[in-house]
Amino acid sequence: MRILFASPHRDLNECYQTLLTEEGRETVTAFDGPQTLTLLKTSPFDLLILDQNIPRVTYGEILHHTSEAGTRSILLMDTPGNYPSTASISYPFLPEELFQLISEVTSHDQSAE
Amino acid sequence: MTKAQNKFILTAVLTVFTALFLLLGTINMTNFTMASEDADRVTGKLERANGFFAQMESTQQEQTPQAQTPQGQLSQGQNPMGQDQIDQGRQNFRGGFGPMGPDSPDMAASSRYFTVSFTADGESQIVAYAINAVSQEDALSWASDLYSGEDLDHVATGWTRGTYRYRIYQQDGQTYVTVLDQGRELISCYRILAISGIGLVLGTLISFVILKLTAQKLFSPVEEADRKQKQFLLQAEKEFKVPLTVISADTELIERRNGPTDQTRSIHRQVKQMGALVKDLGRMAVFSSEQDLPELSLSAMTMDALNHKAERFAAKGLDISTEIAPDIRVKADAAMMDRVLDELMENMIKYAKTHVRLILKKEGERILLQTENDSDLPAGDADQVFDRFTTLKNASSEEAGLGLSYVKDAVKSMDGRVSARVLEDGTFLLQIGL
Repeated sequence: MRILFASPHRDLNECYQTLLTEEGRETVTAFDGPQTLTLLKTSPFDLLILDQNIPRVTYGEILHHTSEAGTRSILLMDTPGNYPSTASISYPFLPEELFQLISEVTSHDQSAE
Repeated sequence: MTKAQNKFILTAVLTVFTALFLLLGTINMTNFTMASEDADRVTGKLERANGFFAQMESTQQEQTPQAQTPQGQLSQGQNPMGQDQIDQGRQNFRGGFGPMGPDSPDMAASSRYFTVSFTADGESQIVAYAINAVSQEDALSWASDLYSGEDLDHVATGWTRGTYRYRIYQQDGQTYVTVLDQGRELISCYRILAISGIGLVLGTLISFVILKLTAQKLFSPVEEADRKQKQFLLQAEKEFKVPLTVISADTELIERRNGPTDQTRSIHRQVKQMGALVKDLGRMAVFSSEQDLPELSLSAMTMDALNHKAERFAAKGLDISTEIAPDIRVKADAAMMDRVLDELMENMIKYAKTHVRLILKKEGERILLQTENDSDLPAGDADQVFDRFTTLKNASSEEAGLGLSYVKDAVKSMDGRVSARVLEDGTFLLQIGL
């Protein structure tokens, strides 16, 4: 599984890249909206984990792109809420909470297939 | 104008109204009571004078009550007062602020009254008649209406026909009814009452206008402080969230490399507590806010929340039944309402065994949002689930016990009510009334 982890917080990106890689998931990081969109367009990803506060491009625009491309996504949010067709988790969260959500999202993907 | 300002104005105006009402009411009650007492003193003097003030000038007639002809018109120049009374009055009068009211030397001369006597057989006779507004026939009839014919062991006094004070007393085996016209004395009382009423209304109105004009200026420092506090809370909440997430992720990495230690467990605990504190900061910011709230479709939000969690319900094998009325709307902060619904769903997912039920409907003017799930809990009240850091016995030790506490605070900020109980069959029932 290929994951794109997009967040403006460098420390967050680095530690989750390490954690997810150790979980057996190839993880690429991005730090802003344009970089995220470029990576999404140039190579396929199974899952996008996107910070709500990604700079320079709105998260809505990015999620619209992933939705059209059929890529699953998880939104990291400041405040709890629901974004259509997207799973979400609000800060602060524990690693196991994110891993559980990733499993739920991807298992739904597999069952749909 | 904000809710707090309106509340302040309303409270202040009500206070002014109440204070004025009590003060003016007391003054007027005292005034009327004193008028009654003054009237009773005059009728008391009439009682002691056998029902009449005037003395016949002719000494040839008997001076017994029965023999007295009623006082009709006085001859021109004739003073209705007895000479003794006149002399006594002049002796008492010192000039300037002389004795007033019942003690005035001219009291007897200016009193308008009639007295009727009743024998034991019920025969009536006018004893004294010094009044123009009432005919003698009317006087007899009026006195008969007042006197019921019963034996009295005490003097009876009271008001009759609005401005007349009566006195019923017994003397020498007969019952006397004296009726005294107090219209002139009472007119000033009624004037004061009317002026008091006008003063009450005007005073209240003026206080309202002044408060309305000055409230904005009074409250602007408070509102500014509130806005800054909210801004700070939101900013603090935001700034803490990501670092806490990074700390817990890095701690996880350390544990994977070196195994869990007491220190890493301690970091996890501290991060959890800090996370709860951060959520509290966010809650304080939202709940203290008084901005105009939008009207939301609670029906749509509930359906969205259910759909969003559908996979989680399915993953746990929970059977869901719903009764969601369409078009139920509520004025609330959208993010707060989302979180309330999220917490309710999470609660059901975590603790339900086989099935859950969600009800959203209108009950009269109120909205009922109710969740039900089967459980192993004993029957009884379960309102303690809304207390912070409190979980029931079916919760895991990892649960912080904050989710429903948030729900309670959120619902309270919308002037709603929450309750929880476990039914006899073990169904955990959570109700929110909005």
